[in-house]
Amino acid sequence: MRLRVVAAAAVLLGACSSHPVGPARTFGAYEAKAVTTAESAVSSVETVRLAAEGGDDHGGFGPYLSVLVSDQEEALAGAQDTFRSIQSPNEDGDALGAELDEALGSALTHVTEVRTALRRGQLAGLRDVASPLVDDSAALKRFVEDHG
Amino acid sequence: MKKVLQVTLGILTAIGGFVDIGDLVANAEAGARFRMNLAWVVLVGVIGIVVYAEMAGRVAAVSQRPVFELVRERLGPQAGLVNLVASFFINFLTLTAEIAGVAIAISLVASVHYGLLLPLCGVLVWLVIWRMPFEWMERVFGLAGLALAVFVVTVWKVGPDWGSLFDAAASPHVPAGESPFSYAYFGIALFGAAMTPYEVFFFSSGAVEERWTRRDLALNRANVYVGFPLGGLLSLALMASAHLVLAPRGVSVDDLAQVALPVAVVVGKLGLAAVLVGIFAATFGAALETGLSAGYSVSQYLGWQWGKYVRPREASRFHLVVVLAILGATLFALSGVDPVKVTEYSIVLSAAALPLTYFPILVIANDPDYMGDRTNGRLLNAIGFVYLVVLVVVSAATIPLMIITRGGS
Repeated sequence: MRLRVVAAAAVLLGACSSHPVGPARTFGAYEAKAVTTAESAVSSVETVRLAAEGGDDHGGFGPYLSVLVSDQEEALAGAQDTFRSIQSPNEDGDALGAELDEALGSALTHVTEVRTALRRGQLAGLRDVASPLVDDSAALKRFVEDHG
Repeated sequence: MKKVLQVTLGILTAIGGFVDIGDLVANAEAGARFRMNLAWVVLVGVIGIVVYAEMAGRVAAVSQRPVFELVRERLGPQAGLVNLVASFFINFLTLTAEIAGVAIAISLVASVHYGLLLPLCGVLVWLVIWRMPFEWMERVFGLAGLALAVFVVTVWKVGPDWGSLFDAAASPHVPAGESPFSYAYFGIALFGAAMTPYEVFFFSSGAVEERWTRRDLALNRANVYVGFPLGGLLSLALMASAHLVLAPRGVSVDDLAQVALPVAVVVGKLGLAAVLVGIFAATFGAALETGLSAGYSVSQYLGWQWGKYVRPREASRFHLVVVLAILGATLFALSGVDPVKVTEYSIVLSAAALPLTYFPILVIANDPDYMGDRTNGRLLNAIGFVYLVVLVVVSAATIPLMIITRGGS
Protein backbone atom coordinates (compact mmCIF):
# COMPACT_ATOMS: atom_id res chain seq x y z
CA MET A 1 0.00 0.00 0.00
CA ARG A 2 2.77 2.38 1.07
CA LEU A 3 4.73 1.45 -2.07
CA ARG A 4 1.74 2.32 -4.22
CA VAL A 5 1.40 5.73 -2.58
CA VAL A 6 5.10 6.46 -3.13
CA ALA A 7 4.88 5.28 -6.75
CA ALA A 8 1.79 7.42 -7.36
CA ALA A 9 3.51 10.46 -5.83
CA ALA A 10 6.59 9.87 -7.99
CA VAL A 11 4.47 9.60 -11.14
CA LEU A 12 2.57 12.76 -10.19
CA LEU A 13 5.76 14.72 -9.53
CA GLY A 14 7.30 13.48 -12.75
CA ALA A 15 4.22 14.36 -14.73
CA CYS A 16 4.04 17.85 -13.29
CA SER A 17 7.68 18.85 -13.69
CA SER A 18 8.31 21.34 -16.45
CA HIS A 19 11.29 21.51 -18.87
CA PRO A 20 11.85 17.78 -18.95
CA VAL A 21 15.35 16.89 -20.06
CA GLY A 22 15.71 13.80 -22.19
CA PRO A 23 16.17 12.61 -25.71
CA ALA A 24 13.76 13.81 -28.38
CA ARG A 25 13.11 10.73 -30.49
CA THR A 26 11.57 12.59 -33.44
CA PHE A 27 12.29 15.88 -35.16
CA GLY A 28 8.81 17.11 -34.19
CA ALA A 29 9.46 16.51 -30.51
CA TYR A 30 12.88 18.17 -30.76
CA GLU A 31 11.36 21.15 -32.56
CA ALA A 32 8.66 21.50 -29.91
CA LYS A 33 11.30 21.60 -27.17
CA ALA A 34 13.25 24.18 -29.19
CA VAL A 35 10.18 26.40 -29.50
CA THR A 36 9.47 26.18 -25.75
CA THR A 37 13.08 27.16 -25.06
CA ALA A 38 12.89 30.08 -27.50
CA GLU A 39 9.63 31.33 -25.94
CA SER A 40 11.19 31.24 -22.51
CA ALA A 41 14.23 33.11 -23.89
CA VAL A 42 12.00 35.80 -25.42
CA SER A 43 10.51 36.36 -21.98
CA SER A 44 13.96 36.78 -20.40
CA VAL A 45 15.22 39.09 -23.15
CA GLU A 46 12.12 41.28 -23.05
CA THR A 47 12.27 41.45 -19.26
CA VAL A 48 15.83 42.76 -19.49
CA ARG A 49 14.81 45.26 -22.18
CA LEU A 50 11.97 46.55 -20.00
CA ALA A 51 14.32 46.78 -17.02
CA ALA A 52 16.83 48.76 -19.10
CA GLU A 53 14.12 51.12 -20.34
CA GLY A 54 12.86 51.64 -16.77
CA GLY A 55 16.39 52.22 -15.48
CA ASP A 56 17.19 54.72 -18.21
CA ASP A 57 13.90 56.62 -18.03
CA HIS A 58 13.51 56.87 -14.27
CA GLY A 59 17.06 56.66 -12.93
CA GLY A 60 16.01 53.18 -11.83
CA PHE A 61 16.63 51.45 -8.60
CA GLY A 62 20.00 49.80 -9.07
CA PRO A 63 19.83 46.87 -6.65
CA TYR A 64 16.37 45.82 -7.87
CA LEU A 65 17.31 46.01 -11.55
CA SER A 66 20.56 44.23 -10.85
CA VAL A 67 18.81 41.26 -9.19
CA LEU A 68 16.13 41.20 -11.88
CA VAL A 69 18.64 41.13 -14.73
CA SER A 70 20.88 38.59 -12.97
CA ASP A 71 17.88 36.29 -12.54
CA GLN A 72 17.07 36.56 -16.23
CA GLU A 73 20.69 35.94 -17.19
CA GLU A 74 20.62 32.81 -15.05
CA ALA A 75 17.30 31.71 -16.57
CA LEU A 76 18.61 32.25 -20.09
CA ALA A 77 21.82 30.35 -19.41
CA GLY A 78 19.76 27.58 -17.80
CA ALA A 79 17.47 27.36 -20.82
CA GLN A 80 20.47 27.15 -23.14
CA ASP A 81 22.15 24.44 -21.05
CA THR A 82 18.93 22.45 -20.80
CA PHE A 83 18.37 22.61 -24.55
CA ARG A 84 21.97 21.63 -25.28
CA SER A 85 21.51 18.55 -23.12
CA ILE A 86 18.71 17.30 -25.39
CA GLN A 87 20.06 14.98 -28.03
CA SER A 88 19.10 15.88 -31.58
CA PRO A 89 17.38 13.01 -33.45
CA ASN A 90 18.84 13.71 -36.95
CA GLU A 91 20.70 16.20 -39.15
CA ASP A 92 17.70 18.48 -39.50
CA GLY A 93 17.64 18.60 -35.74
CA ASP A 94 21.36 19.47 -35.67
CA ALA A 95 20.73 22.48 -37.93
CA LEU A 96 17.75 23.59 -35.87
CA GLY A 97 19.69 23.20 -32.64
CA ALA A 98 22.60 25.23 -34.03
CA GLU A 99 20.25 28.02 -35.13
CA LEU A 100 18.65 28.27 -31.72
CA ASP A 101 21.95 27.95 -29.89
CA GLU A 102 23.36 30.88 -31.83
CA ALA A 103 20.32 33.04 -31.05
CA LEU A 104 20.49 32.11 -27.37
CA GLY A 105 24.23 32.73 -27.22
CA SER A 106 23.86 36.18 -28.72
CA ALA A 107 21.05 37.08 -26.32
CA LEU A 108 23.03 35.83 -23.35
CA THR A 109 26.05 37.93 -24.31
CA HIS A 110 23.95 41.06 -24.53
CA VAL A 111 22.09 40.37 -21.30
CA THR A 112 25.46 39.96 -19.58
CA GLU A 113 26.47 43.39 -20.92
CA VAL A 114 23.36 44.95 -19.38
CA ARG A 115 24.04 43.20 -16.07
CA THR A 116 27.63 44.45 -16.10
CA ALA A 117 26.52 48.03 -16.80
CA LEU A 118 24.09 47.80 -13.90
CA ARG A 119 26.75 46.48 -11.55
CA ARG A 120 28.87 49.49 -12.51
CA GLY A 121 25.97 51.81 -11.76
CA GLN A 122 25.69 52.97 -15.37
CA LEU A 123 21.96 53.58 -15.38
CA ALA A 124 22.03 56.48 -17.83
CA GLY A 125 22.45 55.05 -21.30
CA LEU A 126 21.22 51.63 -20.21
CA ARG A 127 18.75 51.64 -23.07
CA ASP A 128 21.68 51.89 -25.51
CA VAL A 129 23.51 49.04 -23.82
CA ALA A 130 20.36 46.94 -24.17
CA SER A 131 19.68 47.96 -27.78
CA PRO A 132 21.22 44.79 -29.37
CA LEU A 133 18.57 42.81 -27.49
CA VAL A 134 15.98 44.19 -29.93
CA ASP A 135 17.50 42.06 -32.69
CA ASP A 136 17.96 39.09 -30.36
CA SER A 137 14.32 39.24 -29.40
CA ALA A 138 13.23 39.55 -33.03
CA ALA A 139 15.37 36.54 -34.00
CA LEU A 140 13.93 34.42 -31.21
CA LYS A 141 10.36 35.45 -32.04
CA ARG A 142 10.97 34.61 -35.68
CA PHE A 143 12.26 31.22 -34.61
CA VAL A 144 9.07 30.62 -32.63
CA GLU A 145 6.91 31.68 -35.59
CA ASP A 146 8.85 29.53 -38.07
CA HIS A 147 8.84 26.41 -35.98
CA GLY A 148 5.84 26.83 -33.69
CA MET B 1 -16.34 57.98 16.66
CA LYS B 2 -13.96 55.41 18.15
CA LYS B 3 -16.11 52.65 16.64
CA VAL B 4 -16.02 54.28 13.18
CA LEU B 5 -12.24 54.57 13.42
CA GLN B 6 -11.98 50.94 14.47
CA VAL B 7 -14.15 49.81 11.54
CA THR B 8 -12.20 51.98 9.06
CA LEU B 9 -8.91 50.65 10.36
CA GLY B 10 -10.26 47.10 10.15
CA ILE B 11 -11.32 47.63 6.53
CA LEU B 12 -7.96 49.14 5.55
CA THR B 13 -6.19 46.25 7.25
CA ALA B 14 -8.38 43.75 5.43
CA ILE B 15 -7.60 45.38 2.06
CA GLY B 16 -3.87 45.47 2.67
CA GLY B 17 -3.83 41.99 4.17
CA PHE B 18 -5.85 40.39 1.37
CA VAL B 19 -2.96 39.94 -1.05
CA ASP B 20 -0.24 37.38 -0.35
CA ILE B 21 2.46 35.74 -2.46
CA GLY B 22 -0.11 33.44 -4.07
CA ASP B 23 -2.16 36.41 -5.28
CA LEU B 24 0.97 38.29 -6.38
CA VAL B 25 2.29 35.41 -8.47
CA ALA B 26 -1.00 34.00 -9.77
CA ASN B 27 -2.45 37.36 -10.85
CA ALA B 28 0.75 38.56 -12.52
CA GLU B 29 1.23 35.20 -14.29
CA ALA B 30 -2.38 35.14 -15.43
CA GLY B 31 -2.25 38.75 -16.67
CA ALA B 32 1.00 38.21 -18.58
CA ARG B 33 -0.10 34.94 -20.14
CA PHE B 34 -3.91 35.10 -20.42
CA ARG B 35 -4.32 38.89 -20.32
CA MET B 36 -7.71 39.79 -18.75
CA ASN B 37 -9.37 36.54 -19.79
CA LEU B 38 -9.23 35.15 -16.27
CA ALA B 39 -10.37 38.31 -14.46
CA TRP B 40 -13.79 36.72 -13.88
CA VAL B 41 -12.15 34.04 -11.72
CA VAL B 42 -10.87 36.70 -9.32
CA LEU B 43 -14.42 38.00 -9.02
CA VAL B 44 -15.81 34.51 -8.38
CA GLY B 45 -13.03 33.83 -5.84
CA VAL B 46 -13.59 37.09 -3.99
CA ILE B 47 -17.34 36.45 -3.67
CA GLY B 48 -16.54 32.96 -2.37
CA ILE B 49 -14.08 34.12 0.26
CA VAL B 50 -16.45 36.94 1.30
CA VAL B 51 -19.34 34.47 1.81
CA TYR B 52 -17.31 31.93 3.77
CA ALA B 53 -15.09 34.34 5.73
CA GLU B 54 -18.23 36.12 6.93
CA MET B 55 -19.60 32.77 8.10
CA ALA B 56 -16.31 31.86 9.83
CA GLY B 57 -16.10 35.27 11.55
CA ARG B 58 -19.75 35.04 12.64
CA VAL B 59 -19.27 31.51 13.98
CA ALA B 60 -16.25 32.72 16.01
CA ALA B 61 -18.01 35.86 17.28
CA VAL B 62 -21.22 34.06 18.30
CA SER B 63 -19.76 30.85 19.71
CA GLN B 64 -16.48 32.47 20.80
CA ARG B 65 -14.77 29.34 19.57
CA PRO B 66 -12.67 28.97 16.43
CA VAL B 67 -13.79 26.99 13.42
CA PHE B 68 -11.25 24.15 13.72
CA GLU B 69 -12.32 23.30 17.25
CA LEU B 70 -15.96 23.17 16.18
CA VAL B 71 -15.17 21.09 13.08
CA ARG B 72 -13.68 18.36 15.27
CA GLU B 73 -16.57 18.53 17.72
CA ARG B 74 -19.32 18.65 15.09
CA LEU B 75 -17.95 16.27 12.45
CA GLY B 76 -15.96 13.94 14.67
CA PRO B 77 -12.23 13.29 15.12
CA GLN B 78 -11.75 11.35 11.86
CA ALA B 79 -13.23 13.96 9.54
CA GLY B 80 -11.44 16.61 11.59
CA LEU B 81 -8.13 14.76 11.17
CA VAL B 82 -8.48 14.58 7.38
CA ASN B 83 -9.20 18.30 7.42
CA LEU B 84 -6.23 18.95 9.72
CA VAL B 85 -3.71 16.95 7.66
CA ALA B 86 -4.75 18.52 4.34
CA SER B 87 -4.87 22.06 5.75
CA PHE B 88 -1.58 21.70 7.60
CA PHE B 89 0.25 20.41 4.53
CA ILE B 90 -1.04 23.22 2.30
CA ASN B 91 -0.43 25.77 5.03
CA PHE B 92 3.16 24.51 5.31
CA LEU B 93 3.74 24.98 1.58
CA THR B 94 2.21 28.46 1.79
CA LEU B 95 4.41 29.34 4.78
CA THR B 96 7.48 28.21 2.81
CA ALA B 97 6.48 30.39 -0.13
CA GLU B 98 5.75 33.41 2.11
CA ILE B 99 9.10 33.20 3.95
CA ALA B 100 10.87 32.89 0.59
CA GLY B 101 8.80 35.88 -0.60
CA VAL B 102 10.01 37.98 2.36
CA ALA B 103 13.61 37.02 1.58
CA ILE B 104 13.18 37.85 -2.10
CA ALA B 105 11.60 41.23 -1.27
CA ILE B 106 14.60 42.11 0.93
CA SER B 107 17.05 40.78 -1.67
CA LEU B 108 15.60 43.14 -4.27
CA VAL B 109 16.69 46.06 -2.11
CA ALA B 110 19.86 44.59 -0.62
CA SER B 111 21.09 42.96 -3.84
CA VAL B 112 22.02 39.81 -1.94
CA HIS B 113 20.93 36.32 -3.00
CA TYR B 114 17.66 35.57 -1.24
CA GLY B 115 18.93 32.20 -0.05
CA LEU B 116 21.34 33.94 2.29
CA LEU B 117 18.48 35.90 3.83
CA LEU B 118 16.17 32.95 4.45
CA PRO B 119 17.43 32.06 7.97
CA LEU B 120 17.21 35.71 9.02
CA CYS B 121 13.65 35.93 7.66
CA GLY B 122 12.61 32.76 9.49
CA VAL B 123 13.93 34.19 12.76
CA LEU B 124 12.26 37.56 12.10
CA VAL B 125 8.89 35.92 11.47
CA TRP B 126 9.18 33.94 14.69
CA LEU B 127 10.32 37.01 16.69
CA VAL B 128 7.37 39.09 15.51
CA ILE B 129 4.93 36.26 16.32
CA TRP B 130 6.54 35.86 19.73
CA ARG B 131 6.82 39.52 20.72
CA MET B 132 4.37 41.70 18.82
CA PRO B 133 0.81 42.04 20.13
CA PHE B 134 -1.79 40.43 17.86
CA GLU B 135 -3.60 43.65 16.98
CA TRP B 136 -0.37 45.46 16.13
CA MET B 137 0.83 42.57 14.03
CA GLU B 138 -2.34 42.60 11.98
CA ARG B 139 -2.49 46.37 11.61
CA VAL B 140 1.18 47.11 10.83
CA PHE B 141 1.48 44.60 8.00
CA GLY B 142 -2.08 45.02 6.75
CA LEU B 143 -1.71 48.79 6.47
CA ALA B 144 1.78 48.57 4.93
CA GLY B 145 0.31 46.13 2.40
CA LEU B 146 -1.84 49.01 1.16
CA ALA B 147 1.31 50.19 -0.64
CA LEU B 148 0.34 47.60 -3.27
CA ALA B 149 -2.31 50.12 -4.35
CA VAL B 150 0.55 51.40 -6.53
CA PHE B 151 -0.61 48.75 -9.03
CA VAL B 152 -3.84 50.74 -9.39
CA VAL B 153 -1.72 53.86 -10.02
CA THR B 154 0.30 51.92 -12.60
CA VAL B 155 -2.81 50.91 -14.53
CA TRP B 156 -4.13 54.46 -14.38
CA LYS B 157 -0.78 55.89 -15.54
CA VAL B 158 -0.58 53.50 -18.48
CA GLY B 159 -3.87 55.13 -19.50
CA PRO B 160 -5.50 52.15 -21.17
CA ASP B 161 -8.66 52.34 -23.18
CA TRP B 162 -10.92 51.55 -20.23
CA GLY B 163 -13.73 50.35 -22.46
CA SER B 164 -11.58 47.74 -24.16
CA LEU B 165 -10.00 46.76 -20.85
CA PHE B 166 -13.47 46.12 -19.44
CA ASP B 167 -14.53 44.33 -22.63
CA ALA B 168 -11.45 42.09 -22.42
CA ALA B 169 -12.40 41.15 -18.88
CA ALA B 170 -16.11 40.77 -19.67
CA SER B 171 -15.74 38.55 -22.73
CA PRO B 172 -13.30 35.87 -21.64
CA HIS B 173 -11.90 33.33 -24.06
CA VAL B 174 -8.91 31.02 -24.35
CA PRO B 175 -6.16 33.09 -26.02
CA ALA B 176 -4.56 31.82 -29.22
CA GLY B 177 -1.65 29.50 -28.55
CA GLU B 178 -3.01 28.39 -25.18
CA SER B 179 -4.87 25.16 -24.54
CA PRO B 180 -8.21 25.07 -22.70
CA PHE B 181 -6.50 22.84 -20.12
CA SER B 182 -3.86 25.48 -19.31
CA TYR B 183 -6.62 28.10 -19.14
CA ALA B 184 -8.56 25.94 -16.68
CA TYR B 185 -5.42 25.18 -14.67
CA PHE B 186 -4.57 28.86 -14.22
CA GLY B 187 -8.21 29.57 -13.45
CA ILE B 188 -8.02 27.05 -10.63
CA ALA B 189 -4.75 28.59 -9.41
CA LEU B 190 -6.40 32.03 -9.22
CA PHE B 191 -9.45 30.59 -7.48
CA GLY B 192 -7.21 28.77 -4.98
CA ALA B 193 -5.23 31.95 -4.37
CA ALA B 194 -8.39 33.91 -3.59
CA MET B 195 -9.88 31.23 -1.33
CA THR B 196 -6.74 29.95 0.45
CA PRO B 197 -7.90 27.92 3.48
CA TYR B 198 -5.54 29.57 5.98
CA GLU B 199 -7.38 32.85 5.43
CA VAL B 200 -10.55 31.60 7.11
CA PHE B 201 -8.75 29.69 9.85
CA PHE B 202 -6.69 32.76 10.66
CA PHE B 203 -9.71 35.05 10.39
CA SER B 204 -11.78 32.98 12.82
CA SER B 205 -8.91 32.34 15.24
CA GLY B 206 -8.06 36.05 15.10
CA ALA B 207 -11.65 36.88 16.00
CA VAL B 208 -11.33 34.67 19.09
CA GLU B 209 -7.91 36.18 19.92
CA GLU B 210 -9.44 39.66 19.74
CA ARG B 211 -12.37 38.47 21.86
CA TRP B 212 -15.08 39.28 19.36
CA THR B 213 -18.65 38.95 20.57
CA ARG B 214 -22.05 39.40 18.92
CA ARG B 215 -21.47 43.16 19.19
CA ASP B 216 -18.57 42.81 16.74
CA LEU B 217 -20.68 41.28 13.98
CA ALA B 218 -20.89 44.69 12.25
CA LEU B 219 -17.09 44.87 12.25
CA ASN B 220 -16.99 41.36 10.80
CA ARG B 221 -19.34 42.36 7.99
CA ALA B 222 -17.46 45.61 7.26
CA ASN B 223 -14.09 43.82 7.08
CA VAL B 224 -15.46 41.11 4.84
CA TYR B 225 -17.99 42.94 2.66
CA VAL B 226 -15.88 46.07 2.09
CA GLY B 227 -12.27 45.16 2.85
CA PHE B 228 -12.05 41.88 0.95
CA PRO B 229 -13.61 43.15 -2.32
CA LEU B 230 -11.30 46.15 -2.27
CA GLY B 231 -8.42 43.73 -1.68
CA GLY B 232 -9.70 41.83 -4.72
CA LEU B 233 -9.46 45.08 -6.66
CA LEU B 234 -5.72 45.11 -5.91
CA SER B 235 -5.52 41.61 -7.38
CA LEU B 236 -7.26 42.80 -10.54
CA ALA B 237 -4.94 45.82 -10.79
CA LEU B 238 -1.99 43.45 -10.55
CA MET B 239 -3.41 41.35 -13.36
CA ALA B 240 -4.21 44.42 -15.46
CA SER B 241 -0.72 45.88 -15.05
CA ALA B 242 0.84 42.59 -16.24
CA HIS B 243 -1.66 42.50 -19.12
CA LEU B 244 -0.79 46.05 -20.17
CA VAL B 245 2.98 46.05 -19.68
CA LEU B 246 4.30 42.47 -19.74
CA ALA B 247 1.97 40.60 -22.11
CA PRO B 248 2.57 42.82 -25.19
CA ARG B 249 6.32 42.10 -24.85
CA GLY B 250 5.90 38.34 -24.48
CA VAL B 251 7.14 38.33 -20.88
CA SER B 252 5.96 35.44 -18.74
CA VAL B 253 6.25 35.78 -14.97
CA ASP B 254 8.69 33.26 -13.51
CA ASP B 255 9.98 35.13 -10.48
CA LEU B 256 8.76 37.63 -7.92
CA ALA B 257 11.00 40.44 -9.20
CA GLN B 258 9.08 40.44 -12.50
CA VAL B 259 5.82 41.10 -10.62
CA ALA B 260 7.13 44.58 -9.70
CA LEU B 261 8.44 45.35 -13.19
CA PRO B 262 5.31 47.08 -14.58
CA VAL B 263 5.41 49.51 -11.65
CA ALA B 264 9.15 50.16 -12.08
CA VAL B 265 8.72 50.88 -15.79
CA VAL B 266 5.56 52.99 -15.57
CA VAL B 267 5.70 54.81 -12.22
CA GLY B 268 9.44 54.93 -11.59
CA LYS B 269 11.57 54.96 -8.46
CA LEU B 270 8.92 56.04 -5.99
CA GLY B 271 6.47 53.48 -7.32
CA LEU B 272 9.09 50.78 -7.15
CA ALA B 273 9.85 51.67 -3.53
CA ALA B 274 6.13 51.44 -2.75
CA VAL B 275 5.69 48.08 -4.49
CA LEU B 276 8.71 46.60 -2.71
CA VAL B 277 7.34 47.75 0.65
CA GLY B 278 3.97 46.29 -0.36
CA ILE B 279 5.45 42.93 -1.39
CA PHE B 280 7.46 42.77 1.84
CA ALA B 281 4.42 43.61 3.97
CA ALA B 282 2.11 41.24 2.07
CA THR B 283 4.47 38.28 2.32
CA PHE B 284 5.60 39.02 5.88
CA GLY B 285 2.02 39.48 7.05
CA ALA B 286 0.98 36.24 5.37
CA ALA B 287 4.02 34.44 6.85
CA LEU B 288 2.81 35.52 10.29
CA GLU B 289 -0.72 34.35 9.50
CA THR B 290 0.36 30.97 8.13
CA GLY B 291 2.88 30.47 10.95
CA LEU B 292 0.17 31.13 13.51
CA SER B 293 -2.36 29.07 11.54
CA ALA B 294 -0.07 26.04 11.87
CA GLY B 295 -0.24 26.39 15.66
CA TYR B 296 -3.95 27.23 15.66
CA SER B 297 -5.03 24.21 13.59
CA VAL B 298 -3.02 21.59 15.49
CA SER B 299 -3.80 23.03 18.94
CA GLN B 300 -7.48 23.48 18.24
CA TYR B 301 -7.81 19.95 16.90
CA LEU B 302 -5.96 18.39 19.84
CA GLY B 303 -7.68 20.62 22.39
CA TRP B 304 -4.48 22.29 23.60
CA GLN B 305 -4.32 25.76 25.10
CA TRP B 306 -3.56 28.18 22.25
CA GLY B 307 -3.29 31.83 21.31
CA LYS B 308 -1.08 34.87 21.56
CA TYR B 309 -3.03 36.30 24.47
CA VAL B 310 -2.35 33.21 26.56
CA ARG B 311 0.96 33.22 28.43
CA PRO B 312 3.56 31.24 26.43
CA ARG B 313 4.14 28.96 29.41
CA GLU B 314 0.47 28.00 29.37
CA ALA B 315 0.38 27.53 25.58
CA SER B 316 3.82 26.00 25.17
CA ARG B 317 2.70 23.27 22.75
CA PHE B 318 1.00 25.87 20.53
CA HIS B 319 4.21 27.90 20.38
CA LEU B 320 6.28 24.76 19.77
CA VAL B 321 4.17 23.89 16.72
CA VAL B 322 4.57 27.47 15.42
CA VAL B 323 8.36 27.36 15.88
CA LEU B 324 8.67 23.93 14.26
CA ALA B 325 6.50 24.98 11.31
CA ILE B 326 8.62 28.09 10.73
CA LEU B 327 11.84 26.11 11.10
CA GLY B 328 10.62 23.38 8.73
CA ALA B 329 9.43 25.89 6.15
CA THR B 330 12.71 27.81 6.29
CA LEU B 331 14.72 24.60 5.84
CA PHE B 332 12.47 23.54 2.95
CA ALA B 333 12.98 26.94 1.29
CA LEU B 334 16.74 26.59 1.88
CA SER B 335 16.76 23.22 0.10
CA GLY B 336 16.72 25.15 -3.16
CA VAL B 337 13.10 24.68 -4.21
CA ASP B 338 11.82 27.30 -6.63
CA PRO B 339 9.68 29.69 -4.50
CA VAL B 340 7.39 30.50 -7.44
CA LYS B 341 6.79 26.79 -8.09
CA VAL B 342 6.09 26.20 -4.38
CA THR B 343 3.63 29.09 -4.50
CA GLU B 344 1.93 27.68 -7.60
CA TYR B 345 1.61 24.20 -6.11
CA SER B 346 0.39 25.57 -2.76
CA ILE B 347 -2.45 27.51 -4.36
CA VAL B 348 -3.39 24.73 -6.76
CA LEU B 349 -3.37 22.11 -4.00
CA SER B 350 -5.36 24.57 -1.88
CA ALA B 351 -7.99 24.41 -4.58
CA ALA B 352 -7.99 20.61 -4.36
CA ALA B 353 -8.63 20.74 -0.61
CA LEU B 354 -11.16 23.57 -0.59
CA PRO B 355 -14.29 21.45 0.11
CA LEU B 356 -12.60 20.03 3.23
CA THR B 357 -12.26 23.56 4.58
CA TYR B 358 -15.50 25.13 3.54
CA PHE B 359 -18.06 22.33 3.91
CA PRO B 360 -17.69 22.15 7.73
CA ILE B 361 -18.04 25.94 7.99
CA LEU B 362 -21.34 25.78 6.09
CA VAL B 363 -22.55 23.00 8.39
CA ILE B 364 -21.63 24.80 11.60
CA ALA B 365 -23.00 28.16 10.42
CA ASN B 366 -26.38 26.41 10.07
CA ASP B 367 -26.33 24.69 13.45
CA PRO B 368 -28.55 26.51 15.98
CA ASP B 369 -26.79 24.71 18.84
CA TYR B 370 -23.72 26.81 18.11
CA MET B 371 -25.22 29.82 16.39
CA GLY B 372 -28.52 30.41 18.23
CA ASP B 373 -30.52 32.88 16.14
CA ARG B 374 -27.48 33.78 14.00
CA THR B 375 -27.61 30.85 11.60
CA ASN B 376 -27.35 31.45 7.85
CA GLY B 377 -30.30 32.94 6.01
CA ARG B 378 -31.76 31.29 2.90
CA LEU B 379 -29.92 33.49 0.41
CA LEU B 380 -26.57 32.94 2.10
CA ASN B 381 -27.20 29.19 2.21
CA ALA B 382 -28.11 29.16 -1.47
CA ILE B 383 -24.90 31.00 -2.38
CA GLY B 384 -22.90 28.85 0.02
CA PHE B 385 -24.33 25.67 -1.51
CA VAL B 386 -23.65 26.80 -5.10
CA TYR B 387 -20.07 27.55 -4.09
CA LEU B 388 -19.76 24.18 -2.44
CA VAL B 389 -20.69 22.52 -5.74
CA VAL B 390 -18.12 24.70 -7.53
CA LEU B 391 -15.52 23.79 -4.92
CA VAL B 392 -16.15 20.07 -5.40
CA VAL B 393 -15.87 20.38 -9.21
CA VAL B 394 -12.67 22.44 -8.88
CA SER B 395 -11.27 19.98 -6.38
CA ALA B 396 -11.95 17.00 -8.67
CA ALA B 397 -10.41 18.73 -11.69
CA THR B 398 -7.24 20.00 -10.01
CA ILE B 399 -4.95 16.95 -10.04
CA PRO B 400 -5.89 15.76 -13.57
CA LEU B 401 -5.28 19.28 -14.90
CA MET B 402 -1.99 19.46 -13.06
CA ILE B 403 -0.86 16.28 -14.82
CA ILE B 404 -2.24 17.17 -18.26
CA THR B 405 -0.64 20.63 -18.29
CA ARG B 406 2.57 19.52 -16.53
CA GLY B 407 1.99 22.01 -13.77
CA GLY B 408 0.81 24.77 -16.10
CA SER B 409 4.03 24.87 -18.12
